[in-house]
Amino acid sequence: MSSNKQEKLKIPLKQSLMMLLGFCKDKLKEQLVSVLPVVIYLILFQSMILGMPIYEAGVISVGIGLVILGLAFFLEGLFLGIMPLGEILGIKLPLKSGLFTIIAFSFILGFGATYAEPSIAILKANGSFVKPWEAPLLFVMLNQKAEYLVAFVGIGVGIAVIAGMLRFMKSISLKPFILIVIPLLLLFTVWGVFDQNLLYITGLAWDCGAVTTGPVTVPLVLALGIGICRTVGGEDSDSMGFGVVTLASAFPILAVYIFGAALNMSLPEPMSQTDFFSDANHAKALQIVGTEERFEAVKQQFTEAALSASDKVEEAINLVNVASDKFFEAAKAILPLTIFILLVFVVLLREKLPKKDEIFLGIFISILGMGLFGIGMEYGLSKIGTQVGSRLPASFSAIELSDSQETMHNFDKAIVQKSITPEGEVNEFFFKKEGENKYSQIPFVEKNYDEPKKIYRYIPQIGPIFGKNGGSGGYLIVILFAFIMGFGATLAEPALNALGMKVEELSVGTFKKTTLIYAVAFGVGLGIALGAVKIIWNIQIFWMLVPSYLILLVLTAISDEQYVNIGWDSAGVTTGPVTVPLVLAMGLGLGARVEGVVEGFGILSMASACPILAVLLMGISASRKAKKMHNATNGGR
Amino acid sequence: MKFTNIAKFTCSVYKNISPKIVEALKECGIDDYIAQRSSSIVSTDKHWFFNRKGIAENMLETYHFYVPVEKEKEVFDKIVYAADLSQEGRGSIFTEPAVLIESSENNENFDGFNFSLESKQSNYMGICAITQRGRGLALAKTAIDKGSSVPMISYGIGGGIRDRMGLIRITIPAEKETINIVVANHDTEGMMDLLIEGGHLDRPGMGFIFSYPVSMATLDTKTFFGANRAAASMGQIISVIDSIQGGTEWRKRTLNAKNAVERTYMTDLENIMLVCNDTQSKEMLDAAMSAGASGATISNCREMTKTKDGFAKKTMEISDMVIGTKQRSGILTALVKAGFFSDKTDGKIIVKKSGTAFSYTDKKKK
Repeated sequence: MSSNKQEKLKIPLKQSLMMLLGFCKDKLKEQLVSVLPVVIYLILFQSMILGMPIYEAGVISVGIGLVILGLAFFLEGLFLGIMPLGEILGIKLPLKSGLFTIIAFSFILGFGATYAEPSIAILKANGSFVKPWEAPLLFVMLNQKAEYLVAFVGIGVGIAVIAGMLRFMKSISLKPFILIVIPLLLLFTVWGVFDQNLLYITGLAWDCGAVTTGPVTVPLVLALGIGICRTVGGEDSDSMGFGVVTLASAFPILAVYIFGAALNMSLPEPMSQTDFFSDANHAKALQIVGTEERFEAVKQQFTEAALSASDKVEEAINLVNVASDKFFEAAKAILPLTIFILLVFVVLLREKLPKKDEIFLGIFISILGMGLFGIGMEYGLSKIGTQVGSRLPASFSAIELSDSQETMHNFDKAIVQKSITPEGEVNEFFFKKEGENKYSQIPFVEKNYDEPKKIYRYIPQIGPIFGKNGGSGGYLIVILFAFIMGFGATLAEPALNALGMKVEELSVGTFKKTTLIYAVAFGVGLGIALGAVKIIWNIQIFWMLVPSYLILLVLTAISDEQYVNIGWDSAGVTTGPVTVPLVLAMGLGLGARVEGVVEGFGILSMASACPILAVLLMGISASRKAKKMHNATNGGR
Repeated sequence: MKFTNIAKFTCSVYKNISPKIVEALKECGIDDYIAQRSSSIVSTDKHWFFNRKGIAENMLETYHFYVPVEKEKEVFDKIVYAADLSQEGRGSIFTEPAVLIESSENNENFDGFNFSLESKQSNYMGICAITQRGRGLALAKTAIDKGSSVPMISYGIGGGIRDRMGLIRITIPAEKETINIVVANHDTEGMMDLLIEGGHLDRPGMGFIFSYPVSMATLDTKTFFGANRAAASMGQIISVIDSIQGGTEWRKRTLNAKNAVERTYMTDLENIMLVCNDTQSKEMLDAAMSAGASGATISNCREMTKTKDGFAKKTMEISDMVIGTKQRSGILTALVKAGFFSDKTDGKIIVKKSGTAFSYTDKKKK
């Protein structure tokens, strides 16, 4: 066999630069179009509807620029390096190795991907905020047993990848997996309603499902599945390679629930703080925290933390630290997985890597992109998201604007005046000089006055902008905002972009990427709006989750295989790096204004369920249309 | 090396019809066929929000297979009958004369590739246009608007000059779209002109178009799905008149492009279809290109081969290229030397006649 090396074509530098420039322009434009809607919306919302200026506008705009640049690099890296790598391995693996190797490889990939996922670390970090008396099980899982928890999630993902690959090899439909696993998850969720301990891990369990399907894992697993599907499966294999993401979201939830239920047997019920620290309950408390030392540590943390929280000085964010953190995170998410795959490819399969230069370049720019994106999120999108999120409740209730706090020195209480309402309610206020001949009245609040130092801290208030406190107009604005924000943020999700591209390619253009993205974005918008409803009226998550998943199960049973695969997979990809921070910021902002226990969890799980609904409904309508078309002519045999 | 004169079949049907084709292939004793995902477009009623362009895209399954020339008519009729392809809205089938080159015991021992390609006189010509991904729709729409039958669209990756550049190649998209239509003989030239214009194929880097002789064809004429506006569809009426007139000659008209310009078409061409193991095409095309081939389109497909217990699936790649007749021997020899018939590549070559071809050429260079 002779190798026919062709002469390389030399492109003059100037022409190369022109080509590169044009290419970069196109790619940046694509990302600009996908990121800008949500940014413009957030800015307009803050400045026009809430009528407040944007703080740190300069930093934020640089951050948003970085997000766009980062996304463009990251996506190009995915398409150039990571996805072709996954696909080529998927093609070669079944050809060159036995069933056992595939199972072992799938498990290691799934398990390893969990450890590489940056969000897993965030989950663990949250453990220190859990109060052991309120949620004993959650406390144990996130503290003493945190390593086991991650291992369980990893095992869940590992088994999911194995199941996914075996499914392709034996041409098994995705439906039975969904119809068995999802009802199990719902059963656990229902159980949680009756068991306080399990109730608190509901959020954790469902979040673990969303977290494992990150922006690197999803495209990689997707490409691997597509590669494997090309090689194996029967003639009528309809799945095309989708479905692994669904399993990788569902199995970890189940794993966390099983782990939780097992631990729960040896743990006491939640109790009050005083009970927890009382001597009578000391044995129970020790069951939760484990050792005496830790009990003391907890006691210190929660008694002193409460005191010192208000004095906490905000740490200045250091650009160098943030940048090195983000790039390290990106390298950690991408390098171990790709090196593992490269090793399997070269050492185990003894294959020559095709298009080596493209793949290595792809891996490099995906790390670069993910790092830039991370920095940009930190400085740009998250910041404006938090600003809007925290002020959003102003549309229906009064909120304090701590950002525009003013300190007045030499404040003498003698200038405070009194006023009275027709009902006889007495209020205190004082005048503040603002301009040459301009004075404004400012309500006096006793707690903001530091008498010894003669300092008054004035915290302006705003809202309710629409109607009276608790007015329905304000709520409507919030729900509408939630919908549009969910819609806009989804358009920018990188993993969804990758999924859409693959769907379009494998369906030879009949299922357009934009159609999928818009359907999913509509679903996410709807889900987030429902999540906002959940928070505003403090509805139990159970009432949202169970009915919507029951509808999904029915739709799944009657839908076409390919739409089931694509629909459920798109649920896994929506909870990505753009949507999650924005949604959480909104959830926290709203939650802080509404009485009762609130976590961001409800919104995220609805943001997963609704896109499936949207895609399945679209699929059913498309199938019906196709059937109608063919029925018109199928009088034949 | 084994040379066989064959009739190469291409059969594209809607997905719901594909089981019937598979069944018919088995009945005809065809042990080995290639299946490929493809799509089609048809016009539909417009919708102000959901379908502003008034087109519907549908998945097709395209089958490639071949039979000895003498069995062409028999197999053709059987498949048309089994899948009821004479009825519109189900799918198309056509055959091309070709030579199949396969590996045999003594691959080294052959006396060149100097065979001649015969073509039968027929009423039909095929047109194949290759363009950048995303531009196929416009071309296909042009085709159906001008009265062609339902086009077949498939996806592929282009190989050619791009692969010889350094990493800067990533700035040029390699994804291609291939549109295949079959038209009446006398419409070929007009249709090619229209497609060149509709797809801007006369601009640099936009694509390539060529025609090829077709010996037998039954085409899907249902290019409009929607509310019936008459007792019979246009397609049905045309096919009845065809049968009364005994051919399509009566349909002769002038398909004139708006700005018809004199174009120089390339002639004396052949279309080479390489089928080989997945991921092997790239290496083979390198060999072909160093022997003078200018470029190729690679697409994925699956080969179904009969085994003891049913059919076994194997993924393969099809590479399509158009070359000058004189280049044939050199390119094929280079392919054999590069190991095209080795176990690793396990290739098959199908050589077909090509009519005319057109692509942008830099006039200054001449």
